[in-house]
Amino acid sequence: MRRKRYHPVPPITPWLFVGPAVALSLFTILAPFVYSIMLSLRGIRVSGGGLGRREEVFVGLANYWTALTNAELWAGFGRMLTVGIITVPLILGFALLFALMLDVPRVRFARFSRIAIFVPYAVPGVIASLMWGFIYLPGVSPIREIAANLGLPQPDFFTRDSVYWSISNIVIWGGVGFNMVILFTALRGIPADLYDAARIDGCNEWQIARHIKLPLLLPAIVLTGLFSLIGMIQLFSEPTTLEPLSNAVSTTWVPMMLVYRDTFVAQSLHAGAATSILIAVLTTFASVVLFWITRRRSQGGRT
Amino acid sequence: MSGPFYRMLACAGTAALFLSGAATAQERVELTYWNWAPHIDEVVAIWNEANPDIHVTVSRAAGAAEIVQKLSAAHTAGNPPDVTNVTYQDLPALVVNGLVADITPEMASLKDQIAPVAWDLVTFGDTTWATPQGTSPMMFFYRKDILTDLGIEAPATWEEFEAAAKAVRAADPGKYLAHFPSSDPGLFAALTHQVGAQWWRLDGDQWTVGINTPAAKEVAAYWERLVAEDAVSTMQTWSPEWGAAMADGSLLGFISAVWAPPLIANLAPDTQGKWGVVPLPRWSQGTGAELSGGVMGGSATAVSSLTKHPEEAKEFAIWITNNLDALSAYVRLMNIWPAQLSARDLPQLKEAPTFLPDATDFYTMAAEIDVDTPSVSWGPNVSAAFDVYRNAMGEAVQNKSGFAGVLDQVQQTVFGDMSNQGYSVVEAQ
Amino acid sequence: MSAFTDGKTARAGVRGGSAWIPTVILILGALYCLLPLYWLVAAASKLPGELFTLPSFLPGFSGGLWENIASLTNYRSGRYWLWTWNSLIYAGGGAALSTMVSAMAGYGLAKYNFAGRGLVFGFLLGAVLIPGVVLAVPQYLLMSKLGLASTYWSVLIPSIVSPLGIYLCRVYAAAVIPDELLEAGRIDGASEVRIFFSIGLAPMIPGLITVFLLQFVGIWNNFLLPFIMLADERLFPLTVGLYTMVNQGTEQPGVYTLIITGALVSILPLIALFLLLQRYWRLDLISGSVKG
Repeated sequence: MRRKRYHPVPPITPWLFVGPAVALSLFTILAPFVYSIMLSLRGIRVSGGGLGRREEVFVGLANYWTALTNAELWAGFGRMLTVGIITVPLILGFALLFALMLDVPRVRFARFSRIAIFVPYAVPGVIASLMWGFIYLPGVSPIREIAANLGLPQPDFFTRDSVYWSISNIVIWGGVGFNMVILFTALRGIPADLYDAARIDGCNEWQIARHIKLPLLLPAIVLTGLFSLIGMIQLFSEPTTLEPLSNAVSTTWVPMMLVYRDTFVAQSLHAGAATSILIAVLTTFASVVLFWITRRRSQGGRT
Repeated sequence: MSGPFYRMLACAGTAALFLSGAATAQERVELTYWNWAPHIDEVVAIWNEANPDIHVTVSRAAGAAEIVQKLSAAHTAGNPPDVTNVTYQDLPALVVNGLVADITPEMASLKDQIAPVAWDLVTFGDTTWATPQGTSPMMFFYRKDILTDLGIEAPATWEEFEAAAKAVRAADPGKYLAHFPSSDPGLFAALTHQVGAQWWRLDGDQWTVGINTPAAKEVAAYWERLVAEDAVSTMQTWSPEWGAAMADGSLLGFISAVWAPPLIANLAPDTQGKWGVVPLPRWSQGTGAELSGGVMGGSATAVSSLTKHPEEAKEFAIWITNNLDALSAYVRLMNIWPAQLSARDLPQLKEAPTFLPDATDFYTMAAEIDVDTPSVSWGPNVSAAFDVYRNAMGEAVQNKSGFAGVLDQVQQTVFGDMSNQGYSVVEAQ
Repeated sequence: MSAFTDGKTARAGVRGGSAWIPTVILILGALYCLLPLYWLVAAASKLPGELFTLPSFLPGFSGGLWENIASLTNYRSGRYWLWTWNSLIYAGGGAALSTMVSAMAGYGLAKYNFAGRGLVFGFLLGAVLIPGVVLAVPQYLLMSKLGLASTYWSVLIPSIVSPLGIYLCRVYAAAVIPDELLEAGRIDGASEVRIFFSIGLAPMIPGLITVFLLQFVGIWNNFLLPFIMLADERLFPLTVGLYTMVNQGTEQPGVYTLIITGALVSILPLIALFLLLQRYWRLDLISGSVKG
């Protein structure tokens, strides 16, 4: 980019614009992160007899060792991954399917469907989980009521296995619409003459979707995939809201719930800090690896 | 700003009971009071009416489950409530975190007027940290109408309870006599108090942790059998599923305590008059046959260690748990069984609760149960213990086995956690 | 082209009748998304006594909805509406501040070449990867140290920095603000700040609306941050308020209908916002296919 300078921009000027963002992120992102690391190296010891008084002392890496050897943390990662393996492909798959269907010429009720599928995005995770909680719970579940009326076996949404699907369903319900709109918008950005050329060459709509739309959509798919993955790491509201309703969800069901439990319920801030640093490091590492893999692949796929 | 002079005179009678030279302030003192109980605003309104110069505002910032977390948060931030309600089991955690004020001098003169079970729950060593509101005589509430139709008697012993639970299942597969909630460690702890278990005990500076005693494991085995044989439901208390079952008559009973009637009334207003009540079933033999139940829930009122108005805050805390006007309103609205002994002679406590019009002996029963309730104390890491219980018992209920192992897990967690923190602690054997 | 431009008109003129299979697939998707909400509406229209006795998918016809809204209004003397107001403050104020900060940062990153630009951009992008939950606790502790915990600011300040918003603004600014215009401004002797406000900002407005909406929804739906930060129920947003209602019960009978009605009413403002502003959703920003 060539820029003719009639009077040079002083070097401080760009910082006028990026300054507020940088200052605020130092305060709300970097400082808390560093503070967490400091906390994670400390612990509570009680002094004085009887109930005693709590005192903060330096404990080195003891909290990290406790976290690393806590089977519940790894089990939580396992459950998080299970939900991720269910939800991420399904969210992307449905979002892509709906986006491609919306883009088919002469589809009916497209506007209605597009808005309807997007609407759950407006429902907060806690509220969605409350609502689905009612829909799942025996005794109040409309699905079980319908099954009973039809003489079908009543599904149990809260067994140890089915609860993965019950939670995934809430995540999928809330996530498909947003990703669909992103993909659909990307589709609309593809020049229409590409399709016309393909039709002249005798391609049908399926072949157009498979050989023109899909490859061109790849960068957008990768991006939505990344968003879904980050969403998965943050999984918290849904299992937390369902926890009091059933036996199937523990208070440490996913790693973030474990952090919350340690910090607030078990009153051990320092253990919570160590666990959260561990999670942050692991997930950042995983995200960076994923990001590089998908970036290289999508760039390789680009013509 | 002070209220009209004549109103100050009018309330002087009430205030003089507790005012010990504190009312020097000419300006109106504002106190915040955290309490999650329903109808609490109506009780506080009585105070505000009588004390125009000390105005109390109720805030429902936290439920019983989050009170420690929210109080620590507010404390760290420097703006805790002046006075707060706290469940007995959370009080020790507040004390070790330095959140509540020592009220030993103010409470000393009240000791003889307070039920010993309640006094022991707020006093550790020689220090009193809160003023107790009530005790929790445990009872079994049941749908009298439906059990009569089915020809089943209300159980007096746990053996009869098991037989009745199975009889209900046999008579109508759509109904259960009771439920066993894995998410309610407080209930299970109370059931083990009934066989003499002392989850935490403090002698001098020495803690003893006794959660997985042989007798407690027998209680666990009893419930495991009932769950495994589908004699009781495993729904969770306070879930909509439970609410619906209480309302539609598919759940015929509720193991709870004296304060349950208004809660049932909220869930199932149409069932008024259809419920009966008996004391919690007893073990007919073996450990604890002489015990009527345990300590289940219940709360006390504590004063913040950071309050700017300690005198007024203590005065209010003692008023709301000991004053007869306050307790009279409490009893009417919330069916509590007061810890303040003189309040047990209130006229409302001679009548049946509104929701159970036939239970004319309700409070006589409560008094009798109270006599046989063992004194227990809670420890500094109750919430960690309860959390482990919820998760482990949830899994055991899903597996329909391993209930006794849950107690081992809780014991290990509590003991390990207390040793790590530096308490002098041993395991009971 | 907006995200909601109708597909039919744009692609008209293709031969053949209606595409039925895609239509059926879309309708099924729409039903999946709407049926739970319909259940919510039906449940909110029932009186407390009808909730578990009437069939689930039939609405109540005894004026249940108005009664429930009345009980909701009476709940702790209008606390529910206070929470709604708070949600509007957090989401509206937070999104406005966030959009402003993002616009400036995006413009700065797109239109100036300066030492440290790569570092700043990399840091902001890296921040996307740190889960908000990890930060919420230490954020709370820092706010406490500053005496800001349990104030409006404790929720507003952490909501301002939005790495995604900054990224979108950078992409958008690079695409829609011609360098020639900025140069022309410089020739006229305008200051850099003035150039931004008088020349740079206007073409960015469609993109800024999208950033605003994304942030608005994000903050409106946030649960954990306000749940951790706030200890005063008068400051709660709707998500936290409803959660405490579920966990604490209320003195009013029929707490379930109250919660259901509360949940329904709480999602209406966002749906209304979507329907009103759907023309302005420029989600093509996210997929990177920006055209000026």
